[in-house]
Amino acid sequence: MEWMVPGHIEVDLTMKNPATVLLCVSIAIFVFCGSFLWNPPSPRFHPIERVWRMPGAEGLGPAMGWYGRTGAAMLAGAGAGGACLVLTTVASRRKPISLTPAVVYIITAIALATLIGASAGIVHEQRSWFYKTPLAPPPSHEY
Amino acid sequence: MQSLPFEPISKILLFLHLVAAVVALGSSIHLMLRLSRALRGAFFPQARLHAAILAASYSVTFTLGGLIYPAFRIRVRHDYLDAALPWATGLFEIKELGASLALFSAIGVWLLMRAVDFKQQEHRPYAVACIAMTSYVFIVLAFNAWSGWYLGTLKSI
Repeated sequence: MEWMVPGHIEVDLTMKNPATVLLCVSIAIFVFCGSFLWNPPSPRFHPIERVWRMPGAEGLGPAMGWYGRTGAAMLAGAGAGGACLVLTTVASRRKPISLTPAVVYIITAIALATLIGASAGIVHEQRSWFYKTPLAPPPSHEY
Repeated sequence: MQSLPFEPISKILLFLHLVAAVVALGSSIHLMLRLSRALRGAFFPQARLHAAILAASYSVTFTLGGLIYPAFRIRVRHDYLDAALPWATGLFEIKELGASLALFSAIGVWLLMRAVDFKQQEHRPYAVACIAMTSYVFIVLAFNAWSGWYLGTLKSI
């Protein structure tokens, strides 16, 4: 059935080129992390009522923002990676893309710095939990 | 008491979540060590298989964690941690958000390994990229394994 997908051979060749794969994966990671830290308004799941609502909905129980936040970032990252794959496939028609070792190391360093920076951003974002005063004392473990 | 999504099977899912996490942790360590040796010229014939195992086990761990989350969010976090141990909620938030960040890296390593040919000298720098991304996945997995275990000692589903 592969013959039914136009351009599948070209895309397959592009996916066999480590230069294009590294470029597209790095761009996907960069966009994913950016979107994840930006945290645009996305649907939240209310597990007690089993409904999805946008932030700010009233009269509902606790909400879960992780699904929407991760889903939005995954869509953005996959979209950016897919767009990169299409562009590199088109560009590869003229000449296969290749990267020098120095460029490979620089792209790797940027991707790694993005991941480390996003991790630090998450810790910074959640820091207030560590300074909150407990509302209820934890149960005694003395039996 | 009203049942939450996947709550009746949450303990089974939690066990499978643990098993998949152990596989992901083991495969990430194995991949890092073998790729480091491959950089020095050692033959690594099953690199793609190990990268595929890492991507698959990480994705399964991630998905199962997402399925358990509604029960944890209400029965553990809302009913106990948020009020009694807010720092534990912070630790859990860092764990779950960190898991999202490493997902693309785990899949990216697999995609990259499919394209890398270790017999070609010019492909060696890409092995360094694989090691860097695998190391990040390993650090996230190690932190999440520790924090998941520790949070479980406080209260679990």
